[in-house]
Amino acid sequence: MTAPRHPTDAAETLRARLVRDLRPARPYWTPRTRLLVWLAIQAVVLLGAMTKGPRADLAAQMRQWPFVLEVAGLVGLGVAGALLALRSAVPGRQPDRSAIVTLVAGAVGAFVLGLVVLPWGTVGWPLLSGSNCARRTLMIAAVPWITLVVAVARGAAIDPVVAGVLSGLGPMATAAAIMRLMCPVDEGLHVLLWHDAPVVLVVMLSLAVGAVVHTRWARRPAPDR
Amino acid sequence: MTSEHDTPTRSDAGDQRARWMALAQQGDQAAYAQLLEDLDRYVRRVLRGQMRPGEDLDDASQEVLLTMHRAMRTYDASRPFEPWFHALVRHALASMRRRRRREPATDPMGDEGLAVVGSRDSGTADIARAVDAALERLPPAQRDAVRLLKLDGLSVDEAAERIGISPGNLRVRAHRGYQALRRLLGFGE
Repeated sequence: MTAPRHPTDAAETLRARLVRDLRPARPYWTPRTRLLVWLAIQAVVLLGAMTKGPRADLAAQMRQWPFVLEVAGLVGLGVAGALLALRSAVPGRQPDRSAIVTLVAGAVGAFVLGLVVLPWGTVGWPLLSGSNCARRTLMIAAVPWITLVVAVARGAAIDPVVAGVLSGLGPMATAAAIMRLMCPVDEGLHVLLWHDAPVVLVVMLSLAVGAVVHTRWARRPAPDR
Repeated sequence: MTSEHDTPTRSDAGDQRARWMALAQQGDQAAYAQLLEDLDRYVRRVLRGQMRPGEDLDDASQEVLLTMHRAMRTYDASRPFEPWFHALVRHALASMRRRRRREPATDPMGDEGLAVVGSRDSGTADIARAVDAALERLPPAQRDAVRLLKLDGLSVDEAAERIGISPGNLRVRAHRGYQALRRLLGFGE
């Protein structure tokens, strides 16, 4: 059995430099606190969207359980995605595989449910008529998405790709829910093309952004070794 | 086995590290120095069983401390220290391995790189002095590896046996030594 090795000169030098480099650090807000701030921003976005005019039949729709289930599912997905994104920025609190699998299964389930319960083919090919919905979905998601990306980037994401996906899923799922409260078209192809497709696109964009932005903490300049 | 009266238990040690880290977050350099010294020993114990052939324990433990330094503000003093720290240890190790895969396997100094030090003719005396000075500034582990391979002309196996480490480990030390020499001599990375 060999004796334990003592720290080398290089290790002592590094430690001395790290101590010299130490500055008071404002602790990172907990994921729960950040989530509350993010939800407050979402509430403002929801109020702003509602002032633009909810769908005319919203009161009637809110009595239909598939509609309520769909919207509640999207909101739940969005909040869970945002919470896990914020947790992914804190080492040791990052979501485990089962949480991510559950979330993805929830997203796919909500997507499939939407496809099953929505009527298809009643308004024809809504190629141009729906572009406004995609634009509004992106506008509704913009501020919450940027806020979440910045909040996660200020932490130390252990898995930047997962953090990126989650920071896209949270705001986009919530935006899709808000759009369902605003857009009067329930036709399946419309929802698929103009409400759901932007969600998928932004989640993919967020993945790419995360792979770059959420690795920055690990590349911060350090004291010379 | 150590006595439970004179040696901190695992949770005591964790609590102490949490306290040091909380103080370090406020800028307390003395607490941070104690934490780093304690963690340096601790992380070497943790990493020893995880090292793969060719990996250097010194480099890995320094990588962990550096990673922790960068992520310091994410530590929540109201939560246990170990889960946070161990996540960073895994991250640092994975990052180091990713970097190693991207690094060229070849010797960046080339076969002729340090031959100039050995030749010592009049045209290369200044260069030899500069390289000698740069060698002195290397960490001892890297300096020994470079000296044995390039100045004493030993093979990798012979040099590894002389130091008492594996050939893979010696190659890594020499590789890092060459990179540091290139930097010190003004040839960049």
